Amino acid sequence: MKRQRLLSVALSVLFLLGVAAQVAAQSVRVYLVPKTGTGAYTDPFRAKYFYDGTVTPGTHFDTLDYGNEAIFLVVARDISSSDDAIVSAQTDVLSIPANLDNNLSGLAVTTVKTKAEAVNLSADWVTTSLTWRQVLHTFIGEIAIMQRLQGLGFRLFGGAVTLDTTFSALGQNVKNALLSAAASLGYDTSSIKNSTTIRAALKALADQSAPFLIGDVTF
Amino acid sequence: MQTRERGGRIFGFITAVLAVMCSVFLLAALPASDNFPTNGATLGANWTDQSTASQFKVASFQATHNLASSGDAIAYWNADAFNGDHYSQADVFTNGAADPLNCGPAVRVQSSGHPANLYLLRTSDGGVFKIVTASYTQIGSSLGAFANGDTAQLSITGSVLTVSKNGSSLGSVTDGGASISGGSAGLWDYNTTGSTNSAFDNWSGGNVGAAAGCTTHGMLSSGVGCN
Repeated sequence: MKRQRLLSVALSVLFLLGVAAQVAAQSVRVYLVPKTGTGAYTDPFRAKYFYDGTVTPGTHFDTLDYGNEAIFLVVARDISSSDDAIVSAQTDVLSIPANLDNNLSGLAVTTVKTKAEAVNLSADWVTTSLTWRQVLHTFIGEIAIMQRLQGLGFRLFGGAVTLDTTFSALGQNVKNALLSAAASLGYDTSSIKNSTTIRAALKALADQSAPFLIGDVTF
Repeated sequence: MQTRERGGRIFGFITAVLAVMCSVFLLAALPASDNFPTNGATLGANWTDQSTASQFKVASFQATHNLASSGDAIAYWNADAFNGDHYSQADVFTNGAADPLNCGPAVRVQSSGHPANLYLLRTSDGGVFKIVTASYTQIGSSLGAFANGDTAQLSITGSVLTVSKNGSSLGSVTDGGASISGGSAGLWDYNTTGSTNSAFDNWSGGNVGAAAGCTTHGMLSSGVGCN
């Protein structure tokens, strides 16, 4: 009887260890990856590495395009540790650590600012006092604005417009579209003045966004 | 006498209430449905075409692509106004064993632009796409292929797009800020040159979440879309 109980406990422990190992091997990971494709039906815009066999087919992921800009934010819900290692090793990918509630290190702040601003994602506000989840919340808020702007038929960047461009330098139709996109998301646009840079405007608007639930992760 | 008068008044009141309820019921047209009963060059007056060069027709009592050349066929149901959160559902057919199901239900189909902005489900692999300013973008992972005759549903709640096959959810993907914020339920089909046309039958569309028993994904346990 005692031996049976011991056997039962041992089997339960082994089962739990197996489950834990499986959980450890597959986890939620977030990446900023380049956009590929031409936008044609036969070659749609897609997140690089996630449709070309680099990431194992069958992996479940969400991809958020930054409007007309050249990046996607990817939330991979069940990516294997080996696929994560391959994607994270790519030089054109910004791989976010698994623990989103850790603060950014000094080195990470520099990397995030450099990689994000290179693709017109406002990031000069990123500091070591922020967690990854907080940073991603604002990034997704910026993405939401740019997606809505794209849906209205406008592109903010391109030509002479950069993150340093002031609101006053935008064309009137682009100004109207940006304000309209922000208003449709419920954001207060009163802080945007003619002297406000695009960088500051995106941050101010994105900070107003409610938490985002993507997959099972709240940002 | 008084009792009889009072009874008459109560009967009249109940009749009036029932009449109002019936009127409301009859006027509430959603969910809408169409089984394409009349063959012809278009889908009929309840549909608006938002295609590029091609468009839908009804042949063999199914909605199918009109032209042999490559291109999109896009149409939305115009007889009712949809909430931002709605679904579109139809049975999908290959009409030829070798023809992939490059077709599916569409939601938030806009009433301007050729092609219109919209979200669509490609039933050949369960991929969800958006067309914005004539460009295709795939949103998230493909959720699973459909077979000839399956019932395909795409629903949208906020920025969450849910795919269902024969009444069972295959999963959801999220378009962060929801590039497209309103529109109507409809259909999408992409024809590749030389292929036989994929086709739809038994289309229905309605709003998500208004009826009791609906989940946020807009499905009843029976698989019937929610109004």
